[in-house]
Amino acid sequence: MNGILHLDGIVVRQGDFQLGPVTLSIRQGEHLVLMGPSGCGKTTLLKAIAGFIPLDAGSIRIGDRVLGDLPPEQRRVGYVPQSASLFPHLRVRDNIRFGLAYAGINRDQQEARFNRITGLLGVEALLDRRPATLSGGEARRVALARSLVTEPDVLLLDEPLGMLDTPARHTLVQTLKSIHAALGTPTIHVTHHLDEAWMMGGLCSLLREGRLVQTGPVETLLLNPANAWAQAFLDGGEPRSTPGATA
Amino acid sequence: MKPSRIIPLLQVILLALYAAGTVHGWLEPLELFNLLMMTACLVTTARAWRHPDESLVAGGILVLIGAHLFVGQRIAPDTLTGGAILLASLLTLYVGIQINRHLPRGYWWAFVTGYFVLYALFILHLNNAEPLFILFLMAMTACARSARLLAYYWAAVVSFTFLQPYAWPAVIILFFAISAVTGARSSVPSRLLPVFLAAGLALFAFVLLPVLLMLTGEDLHSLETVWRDPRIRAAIGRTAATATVSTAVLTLFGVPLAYAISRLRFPGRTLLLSLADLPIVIPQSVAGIALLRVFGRRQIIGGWLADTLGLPVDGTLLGIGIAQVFVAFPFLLRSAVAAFDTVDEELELTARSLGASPWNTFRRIALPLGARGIFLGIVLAWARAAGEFGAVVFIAPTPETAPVAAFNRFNSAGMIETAPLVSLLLLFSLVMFFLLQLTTRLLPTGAAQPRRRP
Repeated sequence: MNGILHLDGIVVRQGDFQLGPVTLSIRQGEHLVLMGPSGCGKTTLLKAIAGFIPLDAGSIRIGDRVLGDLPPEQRRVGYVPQSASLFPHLRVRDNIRFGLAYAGINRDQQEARFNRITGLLGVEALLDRRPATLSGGEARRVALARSLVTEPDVLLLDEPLGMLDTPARHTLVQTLKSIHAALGTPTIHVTHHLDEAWMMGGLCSLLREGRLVQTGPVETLLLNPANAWAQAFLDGGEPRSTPGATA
Repeated sequence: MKPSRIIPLLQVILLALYAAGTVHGWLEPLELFNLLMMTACLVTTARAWRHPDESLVAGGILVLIGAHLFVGQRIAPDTLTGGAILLASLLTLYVGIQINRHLPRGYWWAFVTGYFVLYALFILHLNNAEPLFILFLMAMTACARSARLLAYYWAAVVSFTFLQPYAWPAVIILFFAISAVTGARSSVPSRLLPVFLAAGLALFAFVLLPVLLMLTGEDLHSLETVWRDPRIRAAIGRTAATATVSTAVLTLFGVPLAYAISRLRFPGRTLLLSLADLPIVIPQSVAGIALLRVFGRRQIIGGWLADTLGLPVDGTLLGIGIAQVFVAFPFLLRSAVAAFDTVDEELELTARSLGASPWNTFRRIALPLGARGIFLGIVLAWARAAGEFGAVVFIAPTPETAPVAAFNRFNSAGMIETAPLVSLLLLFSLVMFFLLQLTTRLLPTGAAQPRRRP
């Protein structure tokens, strides 16, 4: 648990699309909701931090650790993909235990962590189920638990509430808040729904065509949008992102 | 004219014919059977008079009795057979009327046609087959209400009359085809698809027929005789052993290669995938000669292997193994690449972010999720290796593998002598193949949750 995620001018190029340069810091205990229309580079940003996509420029630090060319398994970055991506051949229990083998701790500590996290996420009743039998909300919880038992320094959530019905969204928001209160892991939460930022109620960033438009508490963004595009996005949810139009 | 008025008319005609018959000597006037028949006619007529709605039954009965009295006795001279045929015909008549009343028109036509075809088959076509006719007539009446049962029934009849020497294979194939076609269901209703299925099965019958014929043609005793032949046993053992070792070698190299091909994009990837199919494209004999060109004792590599390492290739187990690996390679590689392609890369990324190294990700995610497809490839490769003849016979005509042994025996002893051996080999291959297929079913699949794009 050593602190702050710094993104320092990171750039990722994929064909015609360029992400960045993005500069951003997330402190211990902060939950940043990163918003933007489809195709603005949100998922790319997460994958770059997780180490799945190499940087073309800039650097990523967690506290004093420079991530550089570290492979994903050495970054201590928890990544929860959009579709939960539970391992279909393993029971929930073994899904959650998956990362414990690589955490460098003994069996008792593994057991303690496992019990703590499953309790925190309320998935004890699901442990013997197969992933295919879980509902969308349950699968997200299990995926969160699987990531959190490894005690990542940073948590990356890609559309954690996507494709869920309203009651499931509300429960999961409560879960996310309680995790946040209990662990304080710096988190980036990617979404294209404004109401998620509102429900989470913390910091919020707007990403447009690979660049950050504005960052701040969600109320500030709503009251003082940085420009006309931000205004339109925050008012209407998802304006068409017209390439070349002045922001 | 109403049907109920025809009955007395028919009765009158019958009586007149009966009188004429006794006068001209076609019929024995005091024969008990004939008297019984005429009594039955009178009773039927009386009943039809009181219950006009049964006139159709009564008319049919009168026609049948008349036919039996004047024609049937000529065909089935003894009264017992004649009487049995008459009874069976009456049953058929009754069922026919019931079908006419309760089932669609097509059933009735099929049933009536069936009756006459049976009659033609057993009474006119075969000698002294009246009891068979009765038996089959009863069976047809029993099957009549279900189109599917009727189809099975006719498949059996056709197999055991027209397709005589191949009756058992024919019955198996036809029953399989009928259950497939009649049991076929699709999400979108279509009459076309079952027709396609039936057409394809007709061709597939030619694949099944030789196999089934060999399997059903031999008795256990002759199989046992072949099994006791030490030369044959050695050949089968050798085949199983070499195929297993070849497949193990293939798996050891092929599965990692397949994973690399599935995950990496590199120049020549498509070319590599196409070239991997070469052993399928090349005629097996050509492959054997090509292998001999490399590994033969007088060639550079083959000579070096024989002289320096003491590992001669032609005419040895090593040679058999090399030929098997060569021909089986594409089957394993293809299946394994396809298996790894179905494993969602997102799962592997997730595993990496949870701390698993690339090796552990391969071991714990890609391999178990691809297991079924990979194992299927192993099964196909093993079967190909065990069954290889063309390439093996050039590089190692001895020691004999099972396919080579069958060829040699055929050349020296001919078809009849080879048949039990062929049955045994077929049985052996089938058992192995089914066992391996069964194992494949038990493995997990790589089909993860449906992938959603961001």
